[in-house]
Amino acid sequence: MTRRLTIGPFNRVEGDLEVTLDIADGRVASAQVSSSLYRGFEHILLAKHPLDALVIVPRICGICSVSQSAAAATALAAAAGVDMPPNGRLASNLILACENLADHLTHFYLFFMPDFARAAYRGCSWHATTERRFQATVGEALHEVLPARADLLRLMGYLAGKWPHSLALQPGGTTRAVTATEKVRLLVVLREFRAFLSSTVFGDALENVAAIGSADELAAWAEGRPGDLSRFLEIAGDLDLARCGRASDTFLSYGAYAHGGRDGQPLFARGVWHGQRRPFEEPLIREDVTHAWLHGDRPLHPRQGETRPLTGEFADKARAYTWCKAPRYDGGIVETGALARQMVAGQPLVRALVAAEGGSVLARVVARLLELALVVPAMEGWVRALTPGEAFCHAWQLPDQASGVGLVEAARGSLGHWLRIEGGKIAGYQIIAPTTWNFSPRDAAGVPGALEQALVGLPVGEDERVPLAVQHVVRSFDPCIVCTVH
Amino acid sequence: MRGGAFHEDLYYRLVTVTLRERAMDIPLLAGGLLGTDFRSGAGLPVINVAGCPTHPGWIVDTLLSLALGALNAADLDAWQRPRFYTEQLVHHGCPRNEFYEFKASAQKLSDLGCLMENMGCKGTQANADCNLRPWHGVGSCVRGGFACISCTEPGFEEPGHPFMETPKIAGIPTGLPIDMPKAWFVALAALSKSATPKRVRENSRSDHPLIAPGIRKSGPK
Repeated sequence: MTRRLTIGPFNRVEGDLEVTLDIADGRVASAQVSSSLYRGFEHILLAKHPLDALVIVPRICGICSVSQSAAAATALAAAAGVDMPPNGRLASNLILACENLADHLTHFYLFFMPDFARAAYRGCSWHATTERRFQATVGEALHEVLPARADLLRLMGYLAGKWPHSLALQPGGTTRAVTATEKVRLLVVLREFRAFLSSTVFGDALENVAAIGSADELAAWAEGRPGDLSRFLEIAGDLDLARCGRASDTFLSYGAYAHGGRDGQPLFARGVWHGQRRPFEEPLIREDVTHAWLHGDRPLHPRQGETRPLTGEFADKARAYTWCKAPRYDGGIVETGALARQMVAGQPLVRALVAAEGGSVLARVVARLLELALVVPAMEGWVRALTPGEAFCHAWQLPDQASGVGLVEAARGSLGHWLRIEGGKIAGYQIIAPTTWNFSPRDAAGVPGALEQALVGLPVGEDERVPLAVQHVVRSFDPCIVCTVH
Repeated sequence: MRGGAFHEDLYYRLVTVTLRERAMDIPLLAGGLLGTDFRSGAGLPVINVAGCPTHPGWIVDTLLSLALGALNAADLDAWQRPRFYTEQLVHHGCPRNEFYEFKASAQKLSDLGCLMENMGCKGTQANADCNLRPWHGVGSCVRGGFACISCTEPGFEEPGHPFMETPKIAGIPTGLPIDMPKAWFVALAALSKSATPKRVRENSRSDHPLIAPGIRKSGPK
């Protein structure tokens, strides 16, 4: 027996999302993911002064604001051929890391875990604890997490003026030089956040968490340990979330925190993973609009890309079901996000989880929490490396004709801005957001996007109107639909 | 268009209206989706907690005031924004005020000087308490080293000039401090520029203080 189920609007995701499932014999046979709102930021940017992009693009999203700024500043820097002084790089990385970590925390506690507190899980041994701790809006964990997150965001106050929608990230560096005493205060902010992570999230030192190298070690580590990661792992084991929500296991990362690792390398490497790591080649990206409510008849590289919405009488496009384009890398689909970033970077635990069962709900959530443990020590190092008194921002000249690409890693994955300047104005601006990759519709060949593939095979109960497994998988990607449709 | 003579989204490309060109329509928008005539059960019109983004404190103060029954129609300004935060200027409490007093202006990004003359700052015209109630307890746009773009004001998104440049006519900013006649501003600017202490002038063009304030040696007076 086949039936069709449409779920939406989805709550506890950023933006408007609808998922249509064809269900046969109690399992998802096929899925269509629809981003149901059009926004038009790429059009707003046309004919604007190039630097106005720094004001406009952060407003694409209130939670990925700094990521959008970082991508725009990188694209402008490439167009102008300007480089940042070391302080500017360090401060930029700190600002971006602060947003990414705040988003990881928000996702785990506010968006993802509350699903396990639902009444449908009442029979499970872990339900009572989970309900007390994670129930939406009232769980006790919120009283610990929200103040910790607010305290972390003081870092934005010092380095970026405010969050969201800062203009501190500029092509030549950052606008806010840090004084010696502020450097001390930044370390205090990070120390307090580290203490919160150790006591509440992990129940262990961050360095011990980062050293876990296999699924067996993870299981042994979690046994009887107080901490919210262990609570999740207990649930994940019981519900078999390691075998839930696998996509194509092709992973993309643009590389995170430029110059933030050893020897001037990014902290997390750039590349594409499919069974092994390959170098990333930007010319291999295309966007296809066969199934989007957009004009266009062939896949285009974002350098030549366009976003022309179907309106009025032209809106009748039989195959279209979303405002999201279908980005493809070398013709295929990719998954992006913390899991992809850590796969490409070669993080041992994440590689081991994927080698065993492939990309999954478990692997995505573990990768995200692991990044909290990996990035905070790096941030402490970046703060120590700040040199008060030396420059944070280089001067530069805006060219009249130029183009530039800005590729950064947002919390949710690979974010790219493609900018073209003609006559001193923006003549072209194309954005591919992380969720555009993950929640891509089918392409001209009919190949479904990452989430569409990840949903196939999930169990759906007879009476389930919003199947729980579907919700876990959708939210495991930490989607941001407002960025997707920009 | 049907004959294929034009691009099929020609209409879409031609039709763009900015709020800046339609200032007369702004009052019609004050109630948003609910309309200008909307009144709540308590008799209140729509409250616009304006700002892009809004300061969390503006939201929380508004909600708590409503819960306490302590917010009335008279507590809203002409744009129906809560007066508790819009009857301040971003200029109030600006840490760059000494630079402003002497018109010691930032010349480039990350300079410590006043951002009004060159960098597009509208803090002297913007209705908000960002520098009296800092963001995250410590920051604000001008504290972060960049211009206030007056994001609590209707139409701020289309200022008619690049956001990070101050529009000027004959070297004088077209956007003058609120409540200040142009002739006064010009006279004051000329006078204060001629009286700028070296410390203030030098520091305004650097990203960190080059000269510290002196220490009085003559004892308290």
